[in-house]
Amino acid sequence: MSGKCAAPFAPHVSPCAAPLAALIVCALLMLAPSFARADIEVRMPASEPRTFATSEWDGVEYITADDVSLIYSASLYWRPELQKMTLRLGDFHVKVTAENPNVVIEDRVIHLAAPVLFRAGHLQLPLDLVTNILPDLCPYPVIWRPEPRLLTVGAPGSVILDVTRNMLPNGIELIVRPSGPADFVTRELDGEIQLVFPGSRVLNEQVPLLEDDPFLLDAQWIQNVDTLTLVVAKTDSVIDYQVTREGRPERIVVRLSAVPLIKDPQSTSGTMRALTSPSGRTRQIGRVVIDAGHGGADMGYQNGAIIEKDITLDIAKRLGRVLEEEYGIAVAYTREGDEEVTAERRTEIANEAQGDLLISLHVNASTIPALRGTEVYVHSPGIGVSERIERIVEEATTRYRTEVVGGLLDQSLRMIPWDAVQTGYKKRSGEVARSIQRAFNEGEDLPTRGVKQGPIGVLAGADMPAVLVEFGFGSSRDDAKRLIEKTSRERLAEQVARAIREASSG
Amino acid sequence: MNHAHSAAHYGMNGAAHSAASRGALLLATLLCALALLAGCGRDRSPEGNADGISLAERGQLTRSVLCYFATADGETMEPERRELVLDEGSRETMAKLLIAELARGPHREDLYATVPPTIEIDALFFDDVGGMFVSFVGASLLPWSWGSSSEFLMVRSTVRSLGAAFPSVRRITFLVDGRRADSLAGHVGTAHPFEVAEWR
Ligand SMILES: [Zn+2]
Repeated sequence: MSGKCAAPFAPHVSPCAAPLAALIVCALLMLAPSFARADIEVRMPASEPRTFATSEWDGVEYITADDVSLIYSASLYWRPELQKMTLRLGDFHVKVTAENPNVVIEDRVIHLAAPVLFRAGHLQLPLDLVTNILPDLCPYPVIWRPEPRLLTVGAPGSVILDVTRNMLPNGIELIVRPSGPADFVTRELDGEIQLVFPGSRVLNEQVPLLEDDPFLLDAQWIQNVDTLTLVVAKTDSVIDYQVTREGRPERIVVRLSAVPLIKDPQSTSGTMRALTSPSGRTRQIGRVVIDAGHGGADMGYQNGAIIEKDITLDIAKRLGRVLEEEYGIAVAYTREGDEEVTAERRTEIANEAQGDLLISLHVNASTIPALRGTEVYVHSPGIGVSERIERIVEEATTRYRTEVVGGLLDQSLRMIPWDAVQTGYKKRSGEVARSIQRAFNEGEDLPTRGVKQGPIGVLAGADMPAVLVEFGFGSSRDDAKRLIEKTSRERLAEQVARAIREASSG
Repeated sequence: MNHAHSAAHYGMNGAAHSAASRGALLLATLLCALALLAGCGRDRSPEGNADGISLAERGQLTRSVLCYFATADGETMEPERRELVLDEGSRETMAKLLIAELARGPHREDLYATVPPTIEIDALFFDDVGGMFVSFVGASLLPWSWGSSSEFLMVRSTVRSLGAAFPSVRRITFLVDGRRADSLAGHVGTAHPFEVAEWR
């Protein structure tokens, strides 16, 4: 994240007015004996280092709120009538009031040594707040060095919550908990295992160590500007180790063992995982994973009686029933109630269920009122992204073969980023999509707008053929009328079930 | 963390302080006056010349851009020309103004808006290898008729308009609240950048 720009569409002073205003302000400030200026240097990712001016008021150094929003790429909401300002920094709302030393950060109040001021036409924040308190709220490392007066703002990365330790029969495991999916690389240096997380920071730096630990000599976090590294020093009793990324909850496990570990092909680093090529799969569709779009607080499209999350869940259940009862096809659901599920988790559920098809159900919408009809999407990330993924796959596969498993691996194994798995199923996904589109055509409940392709978030990581179905436009009066009727939802579900059955045998 | 640095590392202290600050102020005043005398806008040479931002008369920069809006079929795009008036020559400002124009919607009645009118950008920047990053405020995306169709239209119109305005940009990454997001509103994957050449 770079902080080159301010809040969107913020009004700018014209170039002529700026020096004039500055002249007046400068002249006025000559009268204020406690005023002085200095600079801090700020380094932000993907941009040149920049110098920001600070001012001293009543012996305390201040920086303007506008500059802070630039430095932290934070949104800034200023309510002049109340002299209050909110700075939105990542997940945090930082509220300050002019002439008041209390800063409210979510439900905490921090009392500053000096008040926030409104001076020289700007809200002025004590530098201490900016260099010592705000960095702790950032999801990426921000480091203040008072000596060269340098503030380094790191790239956005993951937040590591903590590390816990488990005993194993012949070793131990360290469990690193990131706040979300974390990219990292593993390397071994001088017998130490290093997990390097780019642009990340750790909340709880404590690593549980035992005295005379038979397996773990030492483990500690090293925070650099661009990276966070967990350095694990193992004892001589450790003859094998393994670093795996595991999901649900998201965690990274470092196993240190006194006996050789059976290598799990999924043990690897970062967002990569090992996969065998999908060619061995049968064309039979024995299990369908049904994904009712949206859910919980994510309502999807809403317009009167059309509430997308409810319609998708209703059609999902109807589709599941028909598949099971009429065609004997097993069914799994990514959600069965009104709950919010992330795109990544939906894909994870599908992969865990080892389905032969993932079908994601949605209701379309547009600001173009005339648009109506069904659309079926297959995932296609585009040529540029595919080429980049291909390069990543080649590099990672080579590295995995040479460094991790020492060339002992089955040559069919390839390292594929999680979100590129679907690419291998594109042809088969297209066949299923066309089958569904044909069934809609024959059903004549809704007009059809064809099979389309593009990057589809929820399908990208599915290790199986996958399609996303848009059951008409909720924004179209004609489509909405159909979608509200239970009988037509049932017919649409039957059409999709029949299409899946046909794609299975065909 | 160290909380005791603020005054100590300020660079000036003690008796020299106030005299030095007055000196600095006088200098600043003089410089301000000089800047006025020298005329406006001279020192504001536009960055990003590769993308041809032109300096117009009276110190303001104007730039003519094409804003691509949706046609009634929900598939194709047609451009409308807009003159962006910039107070400063940065590509970042120009890109933000362009997206604001998209959010304002088309003038022609047979074209349709592709970007929510509520849209807010909390960061926008360029890298030096043809990449552009646009971070939307998540909450500003919400009130809109989202579906796969409208999400693809937003991506297509934004990528195409920005790509046309900045010939040096080859790929555009959308972020939400400064982070990589699965999607803008639950459908189109935004984990990877969009190649300008592929979104015409
Ligand atoms: Zn949807």
